[in-house]
Amino acid sequence: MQLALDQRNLDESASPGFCAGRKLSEVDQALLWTLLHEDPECPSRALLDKVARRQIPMAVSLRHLNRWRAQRQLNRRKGRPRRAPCHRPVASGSAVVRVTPRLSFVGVHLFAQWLDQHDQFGPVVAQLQQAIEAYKQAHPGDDFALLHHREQTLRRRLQALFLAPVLGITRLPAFDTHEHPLSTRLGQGYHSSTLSQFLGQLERVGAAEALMPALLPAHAGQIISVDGHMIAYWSRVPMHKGKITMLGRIMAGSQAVIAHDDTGQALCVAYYPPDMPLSQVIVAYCHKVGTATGSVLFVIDRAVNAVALARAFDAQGLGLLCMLDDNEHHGLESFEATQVDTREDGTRV
Amino acid sequence: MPRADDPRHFVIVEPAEGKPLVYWGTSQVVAALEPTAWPRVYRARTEVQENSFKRMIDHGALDTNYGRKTIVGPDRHQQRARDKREQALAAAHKRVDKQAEALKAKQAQVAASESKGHGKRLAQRQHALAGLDKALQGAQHQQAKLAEQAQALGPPGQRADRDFRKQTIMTVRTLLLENALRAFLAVLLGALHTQVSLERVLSLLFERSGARMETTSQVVYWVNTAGLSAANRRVLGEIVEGLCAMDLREHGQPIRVCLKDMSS
Repeated sequence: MQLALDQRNLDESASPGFCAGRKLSEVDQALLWTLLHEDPECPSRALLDKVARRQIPMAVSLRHLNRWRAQRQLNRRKGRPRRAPCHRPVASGSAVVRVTPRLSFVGVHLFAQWLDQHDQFGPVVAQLQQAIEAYKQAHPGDDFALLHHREQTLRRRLQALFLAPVLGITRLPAFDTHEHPLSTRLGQGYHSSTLSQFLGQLERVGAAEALMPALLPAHAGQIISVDGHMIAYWSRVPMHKGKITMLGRIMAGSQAVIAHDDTGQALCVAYYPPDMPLSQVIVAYCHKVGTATGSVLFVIDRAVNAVALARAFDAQGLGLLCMLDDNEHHGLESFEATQVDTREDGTRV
Repeated sequence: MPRADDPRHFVIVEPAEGKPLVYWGTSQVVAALEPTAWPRVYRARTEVQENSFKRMIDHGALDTNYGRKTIVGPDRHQQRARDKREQALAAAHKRVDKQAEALKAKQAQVAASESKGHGKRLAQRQHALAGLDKALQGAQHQQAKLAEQAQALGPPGQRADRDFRKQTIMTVRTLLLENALRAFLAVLLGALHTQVSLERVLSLLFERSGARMETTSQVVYWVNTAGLSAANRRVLGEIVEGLCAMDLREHGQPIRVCLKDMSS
């Protein structure tokens, strides 16, 4: 690799992976790192020779260099260096601009690049900006940070919240206690307090409703599946309770009703108190989803009050496919059935 | 028994063993789907939703609570209990009134029998009167008990509900992430020769460390393979090849992804 001699003119702050030391500047370290990636088995003495051949003065002892290599995990085993039969330089003919020798969650970086490339955050940020503008007009006297955020800031903070679960951060306080690569991904890290305030301000401008259209694809599938998901909540305040399925306990919590289309795309979510039976809210929910997507066929899990529900769906012009509760029939003798088909596995329909 | 104005249409699948599986749909479903397609469409919901929920719990923080605000309102549990007891109390009132009327009528009959000097009929009526008296006492006792229970509920109480606004924002975030991950995986799988699950991509690629170098002509990412088994290393190699084939770009420069053992 040919390293440009004017590399020292590069912005020194452009290499966040290295901290400039007393003897080795960031660029010196980037150069050493690049040379070592070309030839990881290169002894430190030979490495210094290579640097010298590039006429870059580097006043550093072998011992110091060895320590630096060990610190960066670029050290090699003791003994005579082995020559790799064919070691291809990774970036031949190009000068290093920025090096990050230790990068956690590499895949998340690549995924985020893919998201950027396809402008996945563009519609989300646009929806949010609209909501902020609407809030400003409705509440001209209000003034808080979110109302003044630039598009770039909104995008960065949304990305931080968005990527948190794949970085292993489920709760916001973990931004302060877990190592995360936001600084290498977004160019800056975030503390939980910043993101908590951001979330609070999103709540204030009613971002939930504003962000919901970002879930909708250009063409939603014909058949929409709807199901509820109960999440337990622990509180000392007396709260309304329901059966939290995962824990098998009657306790406080929340009931998320989520719709997916037949391609698996999530379309909508609404939260209800846990004591509210799904059959009481499902018609209004499906009507809302149907209006947003244009789809009118819904599939839901086994339903109680099936006749009432079927009537309500019919009245709204919506289609509902469901399974009859096993307790509501006694087998084939409960029906007057006509055979339509025999399937491949021998079961009769 | 067919119910009056029941809008449901049924499709029954009779398996070799066990109870038949009964699907029902409204007229819109009948118009849109063949009866033989109903079981398949219903089963597809499991893959689409149940498994998606599991994935979102695993890597989307779907089960995490966000926001501690609560909204205090009337206690619905108490209201429901009160409604139920008031309904029972009203029924008990009715029963007492009915029993009292029956008792009164029977007393009149007994009086009539006495005045007319009936022998056997008087005895029969007196016996029936005693039975009605006992039933009235029972109904009154039941009424008193229900009234006591209704009283025990106390004045209308208050109970809190969660303020779901933050939770909804973060769940929308989770759903957006899940949609994006699915789309990313679909593109990646298009460039691979083997099937790889999202969970495997997350554990093999997303969670691994590595290094990054930006040059004037390309951006190189190294994925650390230290500690990987040979099988996982092979799969990761395929994933990396797929990523290279996806034509990823950073600031307009092509991204190259390589494997590297960074353990030493």
